[in-house]
Amino acid sequence: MCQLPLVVPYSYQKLLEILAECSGTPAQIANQTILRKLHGIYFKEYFEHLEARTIVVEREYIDRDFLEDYAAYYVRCFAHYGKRCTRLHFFARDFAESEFNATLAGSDLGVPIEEMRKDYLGFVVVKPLPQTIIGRTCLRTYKEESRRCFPATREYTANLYGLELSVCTLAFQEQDTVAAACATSALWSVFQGTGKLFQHHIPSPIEITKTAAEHWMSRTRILPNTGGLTAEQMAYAIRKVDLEPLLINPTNEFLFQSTLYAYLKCGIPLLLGGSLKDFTDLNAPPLLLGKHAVALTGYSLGRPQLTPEAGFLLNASRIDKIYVHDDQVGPFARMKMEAGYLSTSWRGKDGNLGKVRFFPEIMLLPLYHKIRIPFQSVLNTIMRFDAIVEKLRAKFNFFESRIVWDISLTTVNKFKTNICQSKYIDDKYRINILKSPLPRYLWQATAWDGATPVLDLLLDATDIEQGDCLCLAVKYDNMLSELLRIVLCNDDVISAFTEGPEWRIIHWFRDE
Amino acid sequence: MVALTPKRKMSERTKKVVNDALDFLRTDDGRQQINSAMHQANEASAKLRKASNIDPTLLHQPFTI
Repeated sequence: MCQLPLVVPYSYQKLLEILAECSGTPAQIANQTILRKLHGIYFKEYFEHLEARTIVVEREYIDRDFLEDYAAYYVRCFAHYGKRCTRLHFFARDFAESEFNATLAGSDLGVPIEEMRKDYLGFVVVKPLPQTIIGRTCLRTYKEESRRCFPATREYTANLYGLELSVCTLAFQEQDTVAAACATSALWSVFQGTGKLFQHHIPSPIEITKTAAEHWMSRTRILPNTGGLTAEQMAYAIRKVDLEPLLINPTNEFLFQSTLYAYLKCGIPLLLGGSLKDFTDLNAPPLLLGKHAVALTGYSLGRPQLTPEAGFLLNASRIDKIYVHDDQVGPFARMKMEAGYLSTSWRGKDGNLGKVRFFPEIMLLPLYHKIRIPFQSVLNTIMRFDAIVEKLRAKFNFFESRIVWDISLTTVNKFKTNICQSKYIDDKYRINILKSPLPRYLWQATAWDGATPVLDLLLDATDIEQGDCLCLAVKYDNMLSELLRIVLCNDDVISAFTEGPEWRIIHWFRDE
Repeated sequence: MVALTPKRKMSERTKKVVNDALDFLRTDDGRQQINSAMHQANEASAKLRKASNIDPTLLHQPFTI
């Protein structure tokens, strides 16, 4: 049992001691194990960034997911493994145990509860296992500046001895190599997001592993889960929570950036699988470490220039980094986009960081069944439409530079909330839009002229691909809207266009 | 379909651009340029569609580490 005091001032060294103590293994062994883990290094930088000042140790904590794994596996071990965990709560504020106790007692001498809530950074569950001790971890994200985005987060509440605390994040945990390998851990994190978004049951790691094995029985044993999961097994696990798996090839950089942006911006975390290769020895072929899966949870729009694809400009091409829950590293671990691969925080065989590269091979998206129109279909439509507009723009210069498109999935509620707050439309137009019936899921393609939106195309994501799926166009710019209304709908003109998917857009303006 | 767009008065600049564009698109050269641009967009789309195909052998390889 953890014998630490209740409240401890934060330091990296102290954190390592606490993790070792709470794991339940002899200190000397635990210290060595934890020091070898990447999580320790990652948490050091992460907590420095979050400015952690105090740790509150909550002993005898029952974690639902670990309890499920314990009941299904660990309880049958001859060796005794505890079922109760320790939960460490982190605060960006200094306070002593006496002040904390005063807060619990409701005394004025304690830290005001609202202050505690404001400075709450989240928690880490420490499992009573010899090595794989990092359980459910819910920590505040990096600050979302203009470039960093973490759209797939949700609120988690923690009741600390009666104090209601909350943190906005997406849960992470390391694989225990028993109930879960990397694929299960990544899926578990993804389900943490989709469970809230699409209202489905969030299975524990062992439930995910067992379910996945129902579809395709592995040649070797499923538990302990050293054999991992295949893409087909992961897709089956997604179906079992009543979602539809969509498999994407992420090897083309433009497709990778545009697809992850399109779905992640709506709050849907993605699963990314690929190969890890060690490039420590540049004079020899890279060493294949194996296949690894992570949960994609955020991105950074840090590239100063857009990368055109056949001239077409997409905001998503500014993605220079992604943030993933890498169960071997930590939550929101950064992977930088390089030419054909992603950099990682893994150690190479020389023990140094940054020598291992990740080569994406599959991207798996868990989608609610009503999200039917795939992103690529929308991309195709907008690219063709953009070709027409750009030809006219280049000839008549009604905008100084080429339109930049921002394409992402959204919901009718989010869209209308943004329309409520938009400063680019007048009130009468706003009311008309807000009162229009729209489908639950929409593809939103916004055309930008610099920092000003000129056009919003809303396509029905619940329609069939052959349908007339443009349900609304919001016109912010008078020049472009008149051009579309008069020019593209002129009988002499439209007869020359082939009936491609852009016809839906032209058809809408014609009938408006 | 309900008309949502408020009626706005066209500026002189907008009128000129619209008329010039109409004249341009009524010519064979104008329509040819538009078709050529859309053809390029089609090729880019086709290339992306091809790039999106998954190698089926990857589906059965487990993610283990």
